[in-house]
This record gives sequence, C-alpha cells and structure tokens, in this order.
Amino acid sequence: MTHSLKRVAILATMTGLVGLLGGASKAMEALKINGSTTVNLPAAEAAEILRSEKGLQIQVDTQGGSSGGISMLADGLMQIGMSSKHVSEDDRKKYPKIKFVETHIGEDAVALIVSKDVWDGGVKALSKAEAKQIYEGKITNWKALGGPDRRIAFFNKEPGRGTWEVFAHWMYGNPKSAPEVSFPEVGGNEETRNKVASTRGAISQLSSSWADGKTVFALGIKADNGSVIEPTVENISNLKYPMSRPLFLLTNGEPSGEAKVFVDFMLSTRGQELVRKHGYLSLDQLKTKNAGAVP
Amino acid sequence: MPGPADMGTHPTIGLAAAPWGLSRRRSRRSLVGGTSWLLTGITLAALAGAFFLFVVQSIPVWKHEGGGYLTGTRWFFRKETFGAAPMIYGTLAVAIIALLLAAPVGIGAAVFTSEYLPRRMRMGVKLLIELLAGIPSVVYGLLGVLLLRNYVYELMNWMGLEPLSGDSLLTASLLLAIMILPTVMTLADDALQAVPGMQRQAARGLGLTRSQMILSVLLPQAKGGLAAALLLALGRALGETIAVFLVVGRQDNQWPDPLWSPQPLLNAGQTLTSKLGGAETNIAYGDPLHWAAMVGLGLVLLVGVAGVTLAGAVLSGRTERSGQATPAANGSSQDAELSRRTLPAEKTSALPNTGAIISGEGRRRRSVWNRVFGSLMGGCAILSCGVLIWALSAILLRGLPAVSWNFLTEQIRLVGAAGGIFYNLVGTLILIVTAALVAAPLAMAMALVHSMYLPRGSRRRGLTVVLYALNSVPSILFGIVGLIVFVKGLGWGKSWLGGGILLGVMILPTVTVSLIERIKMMPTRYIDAARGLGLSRSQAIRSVVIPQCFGGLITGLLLGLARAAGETAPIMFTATIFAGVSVPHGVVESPVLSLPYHIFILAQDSFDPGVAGKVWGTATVLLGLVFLLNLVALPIRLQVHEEATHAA
Repeated sequence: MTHSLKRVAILATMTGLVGLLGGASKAMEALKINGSTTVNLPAAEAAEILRSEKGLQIQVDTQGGSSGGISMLADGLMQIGMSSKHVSEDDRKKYPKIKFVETHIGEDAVALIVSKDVWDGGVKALSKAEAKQIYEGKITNWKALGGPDRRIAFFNKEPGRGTWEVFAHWMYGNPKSAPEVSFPEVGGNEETRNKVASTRGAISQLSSSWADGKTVFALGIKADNGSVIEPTVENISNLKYPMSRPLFLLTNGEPSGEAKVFVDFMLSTRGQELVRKHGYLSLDQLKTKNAGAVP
Repeated sequence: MPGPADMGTHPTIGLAAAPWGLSRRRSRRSLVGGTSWLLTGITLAALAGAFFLFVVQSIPVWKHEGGGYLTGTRWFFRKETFGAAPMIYGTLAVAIIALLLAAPVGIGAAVFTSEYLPRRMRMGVKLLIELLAGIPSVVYGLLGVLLLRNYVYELMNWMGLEPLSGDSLLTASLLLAIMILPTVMTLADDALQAVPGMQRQAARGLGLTRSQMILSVLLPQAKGGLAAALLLALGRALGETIAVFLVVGRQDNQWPDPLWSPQPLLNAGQTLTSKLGGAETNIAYGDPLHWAAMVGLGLVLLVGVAGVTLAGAVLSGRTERSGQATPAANGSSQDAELSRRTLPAEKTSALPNTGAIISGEGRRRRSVWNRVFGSLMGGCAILSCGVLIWALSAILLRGLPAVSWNFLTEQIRLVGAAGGIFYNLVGTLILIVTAALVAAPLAMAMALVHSMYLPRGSRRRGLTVVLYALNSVPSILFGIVGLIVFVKGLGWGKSWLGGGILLGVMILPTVTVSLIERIKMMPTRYIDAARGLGLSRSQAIRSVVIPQCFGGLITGLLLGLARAAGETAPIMFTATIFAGVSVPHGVVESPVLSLPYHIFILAQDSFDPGVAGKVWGTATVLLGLVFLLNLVALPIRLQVHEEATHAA
C-alpha cells in the first residue's frame, strides 16, 4: 500500500513540476482592474458582460479602495484603476513617470447616513458646522441636535477610501487639513451599512445609493439659508448637493487595447445603464459638464 | 503499512555490504544526506532572511521615533506620527482576556475528559474538539461580524453598560476565547494524561476522593504541561488576524487611562494584527517611513509571539524530560491508560474510602464536594462542546441550503450575488497542492537532518526550537514577507506560486514534526536489522526510514493543508483576488480566487441581500474541505498510534 501511494505521490509531484515549468513560460495577458469598491459595482458587472460576450480576460479586485487603485496602477500592477476621487497632485508627484488619465464614467454622492433610531428620533438633516462638531468630538449626544438621548457612534471610513476624502474635502477644503481624530473604522460599503444598521445612535459616511431608507437613512444637508438639500439626482446633477464625487477609470496614458475596449464599454449606453442600475448618476444625468471637477 | 515482514522485500540490499559505522563525513556525501542538509540549509537561511527583512525594513521608523515607537500613544500616518502602544495594548488585552475566559473552561473540560470519561468516549470527544480546532479563522470572523457582535451589543445594552457599538476589544476577546478553547482543551488533556497512572492509584489508595486526587495530585503534577498549554494558546491568540480584524472596530489611538481601567475594553480598539491586515498596509508601501512603521508592528508582534510560544515549548519540554526521568512515566499516556484499565472508573468510585478515621459528617461533606466538583468539570466540558457545536450549527444551518451542485460548479456572477464558487474551490486547491509540493521535500529533509544526521543534544534541540518558533509565527506576517519578496521584490504581483510557497513554509513545522514523531516511533529494530544486513547509513535511511515515514508525511501534509486551506492572511496581499480569474497560465501576475478570501470580502462587502446565503454557503464548503482533510488523516494517525503501541 505504501509503495503504490509513494508512486502516486512521486507521479503527482513530477506532473506538478512539469506543469509549473510549462506554465511559467507563457504569462497570460489579462486586463487587470483594481480600486474603489464604489466603482467596482458597475465595473465588475461590465467585466462579466465583456468576459462572456467578447471572451476578454478581465480581473477585478478592490484592494485598498481608490488609493489602492491609484498606487497599483502606478506600480504597473494593473492597467485600469478604479477611483472615486481625483488623482491628487501628491499622487502625481509621487509617481512622476505615470501619466494618469481620468475617464469620467458617472457621479456619486456621499451621504451622512444614520441608523433608524436616530432618523425616527427626528434627526433628518445636519449642517456642515454640526457635522464638523460631531467629527471633532464636540457634540457626542444626539440630544444636542434635536434627536434622541443617545451617544453618537461615529464609524469613520478608513483612510484611502474615496468616501472619506470627499467628506473631508467638504468639511475642511482639503483632506490634509482634517483634524487628527480616532473613531472605529469601517472599510467596505456593506460593512458600513451593516454596522450602522445594527448600532443605535450610529452615523457614518456612505455612498448615498446604499442608503436603503429601511435600515439606514441618508441625512439632508442644511444650507446656510436654512433650506435642506437632499442627495437626490436633481440636487447632485445641478451641484446643489455639496458632497458628490466623480467616478473614474484611471489609465496610464490614453486607454489602449483591451483597456480601451473596457473604458469604451463603460461609456456606451449599456455601460451607463449599469452605472444607473447601481444607484449612481450616469453622464447624461449630469447637467453641468464639469461636474467631475467638483472637489 | 508494512510490518517487519516487509523487510524481506529488499533482499539485494544486503549484498551491498557497506559497514554501518561510516564516518559522518562520508555519509553526508551521500545523495539523501546531501540533499537533506542542502534543503534544510536553504530553509533556515530563508527564515533568517525573512527575519532580517523585518529588522532592516523597520529601521527608518526606529530612527524617526526611537523608543517612542513602542511607548507613543498616537498614530497619525499623515502627520508622520507613529506610536504603537495602543496597538500593543489592544493585542495584549484581547489575547489575555481570551485566555482568562478559555483557560478555566478548557482545563475543566480536559479534567473531565481525561479523568471522568471512559477511554473510548474520551477519544471521541478529543476528535470532535480537534476537528473544531480546524475551523478557519475567517469562518470565526464571519460568525463574529454577523452574529456575535450583535449579541454582545444587545447584551451590554441589556446590562445597562451603554456600549457605543458591538465592535469592541471585548467582542474580539470573546471570539478569540472560542477559537483557542480547543487548543487549551486538547493540550491540557495531553498534559493530564502525561501524569503517570501510578500517581493516581497511590492517591486513591491513600483514601483521597477523586476530586481531592485531581486537586492535590494531578493538577500540581501537570502544572508545567498546563502552563505550556496556556502559553501556546496565548501565542495563537496574540497572532490571530482575520477574526479579530472583523470585530475589533479598528479604532486607532485608544490608550486606556488609567491603564487597568476596564471601560476601554467595551470600546473599539486596534491590535497589531488588525492594523497589519487593514488598508494601511497597501497605502504604506512605497513610503519608506510609513512602511517601516507597518513592518515594525510586524517585528514587535513576531518577537512577542515567538517569546511566548518558546517559553511554552521550553516548559512543555521540561515537563516531558522530567517525566521521562521517572521510569514509571515511560510511554506515560499508555501507562495511564493501562493502569486505569486495571482499575476501571466505576470500580474505583465504589471502593470504600479508607476513611474509618473520618466522621460520617465529614464523609458526607466529602462526597457532596466530590460530586459538585465532578459536575463542575462536566459542566465545563458541556460548555466547551456546546459553544463549538453552536458555532458549527450556526454556519451549517445558514450555509447548507445554499450549497448545491450548481453552487460548486458555476463561477461567480454579479459580484458574488449570483452563480457559484467553482474557481474559488479550484484556486484553493491549486494553493494547497502547491503548498504540499513545497512542504513535502523540505519537511522530509528537515526531519531526516533532525532525527538521523544531527547528534542528540543542543543542535538537535536548536532545530526543534526553530520549528516551534516558525509554527508560532502569526500568519499575517507570512503575508507581509510575501508582499515584500514575491509581489514587489520578484515582481510577481499577486501570484498563486507566491501564495503556495508561503502556505508551504507556514505548514512546514506541522509536517516536519509529524515526520519526526514517526521516526521516533519507528522500532529501533528496523534500523538494527538494516545495520545487521550491512547497509550503510544512507542506504538504511533511503530504504528503511524514508518508506516507513511515508504515513507520517501524508498525515502531516493533510493536517497542514487543512490549516492552509482556510488561511486568509498570508494570501490576501500575495495570491488571491475577488473575481475575474479562472486557472492561472503563468507565474507573474497570475492570481487565483480562493474560498477564504471570498468569505473575507463578502463579510465586509456583500452587494446584495442574496449574498448572505452565498457567503454562509462558501463557509460551509470551506469547512467541508478542512474537515475532509482532517478526517482522511485520521485513520493513518490512529494506525500509526496503534503500530507504535504494538511495537513498543
């Protein structure tokens, strides 16, 4: 018994080694895409369509969020980065040899979302000043904002996420001027939604399309004149809602080859339908042409 | 498994009449010996190299922060402030509380299985526990993030503690306590079994009740072994990444004031491992100082865990040695078995106490206490099994309905919301087969060097220490090394080969130790016979020792692979992505999908309510794979055990 087992094992080893050497000689050329979980939703579905219809080899991953998309594109680890924020000057300085090209494929709004008890308790909108006070720990109970008597549980999106940068940009003009704070961190969108939904007194930043109005609720923004601006399609497209952000596909230089096929598909009618399907604004819904240049 | 009769199948070898007593120099020149030394040397050099990577790459942060890196309580990478103290605190707090929770229950359960249960039932319970020890940490993480954190949150609310959320150091330590419970229990059981049966008999003969015997003889005798069990469990708790990551809250700069205040435990926190497993690792690469700060966390973790684990190993080694010093303890566990068989449990309890001098009142009190103690220990065992059965059923009840033939054979569609996990299964198999191919020759070489070529004494012990240390290395650190060496250094990007090599090295200790045990159990008369036939040392090794080891190799591999199949931390930066690949065709930039990473991502980022079923289903399939590997290993393990008992 031992001997036959041994023979099988040796055979398996050798087959494995041969396969390994044979395989190593020809590296496969697959189109690799990585970055923002927000952009990932329509992009991953587009990739599935292109895989089945055109037989393209496309890999999609969401490591490190938008920043992961930017840095891994710059490191040459992939051909398309997904980002829900502009490539910053710092990024361009950090990678002088890379010619980042942003292809705008849609628009998303970041909302402050709260759990049901907060919403039902009467908090439906916050002003920028109020949001700032929460973020800086100066207001720690919803009572101060006309809500229930409950401590505020702030879940902060982890660094590198486009969502956080849009939020910080809105409040402080520049993510770098955001104060040093420490909150429990959340990563992916679903994790954020789950944790806010299951925690009383919770608030976090999240793509407004994820606010289902049943477990988590998107707050409006109180403008200086007292009017409340909801993150609706209308308000996002006419730039009234302040925390919107562009969704980008990033390439090094103008997209070419399979990357171009993918980018073109995202810009096509079907691609734009996918953008809408996942709750974002497609390009034709954006009334202002330079909406992508908001932050 | 060939018995001694099989020796006759190599009649020709006897003709090659080389004297056994060759000088070691000459035998080293033989093919088997040379290869073994070479592979062992390469492995040790690679491990030393990996350690120096952590030292060297963390230098910038030591220069920047000095000792403040360890004592600083503030970490703001955008401002280049790096203080690791809150993470060290988080790591210690989570692990120590987990141990405080798991230790009494685990040891109590071990006392029950070892001292109260009949042998067959004891083996049954032990097998169940060992099986449960194999539940991958990402599956525990899933239980934690979807169930336990809500339970803890509601419980704390009910107690009026007003927690901010369910993510807390306490939640993480509860989850960890469940995870290390099997480790504590099974190692504590071993420690108790190592106490010679004669000690028990003597104590009972003096008229002690069973509970008195356990408290005043057994536990003190097993002290060293129990401490070792706890230290090894602590080592595992300190290094756990994925499960902690999902429930600890990942809040930086949580420094308790005062240090012993319990309040911070109810809040979110950060551990060394949850930091390393998070988004910052990707962001930091490329910025030498920030990267150094991250690698430095790895170094602190490595040194801490290795220290604790080696202390445990030394303790258990010392107990083993002191045990062997008394002749009664030779083959201690079989001895204990034997003595109890001559003095069955039912009979002993029926023996009249030699308590003529004890008053009736005292006797009654003693017997009541005896029963209370017994039920207490039984309660611990029931609690342990109950917790683990809860974990298992929570997964299976949700996961089994999602598992179907199509689930196993279709590929992912709609970002995990539809379709199946075919290529995740394939990817995981590719990774573990690669790991096996890497681990098998290296482990065989190291085991031969350890048991056949190295003289008894310090150098052999040194190799054992290396194996123990390697076994204790937290799996996230393999991921960091892989990121530095394979992904960036060699420019492979994410590649199945990188992941397979990392997993192979990770399971090396398991496989090697299994082989060493096998060699140790091999009756010396096999080798004596070979010597008598005039075989040279290398010939004897090649034609007797290696074939005899085959069972040990398979067992070790299966056990190791059961662990490798469920690991997320080593492969998430190095080998696996979420969607979009099938079978790799090369090495560079050739990631695979995998089961554990699929669960890890979906636990955080499911895109659709329909995903919930899919993620539990994936967990069920992963569990099935892990249990299958463990179960296949089982008969071989039992057979080896039997044979050793037989031959002894």
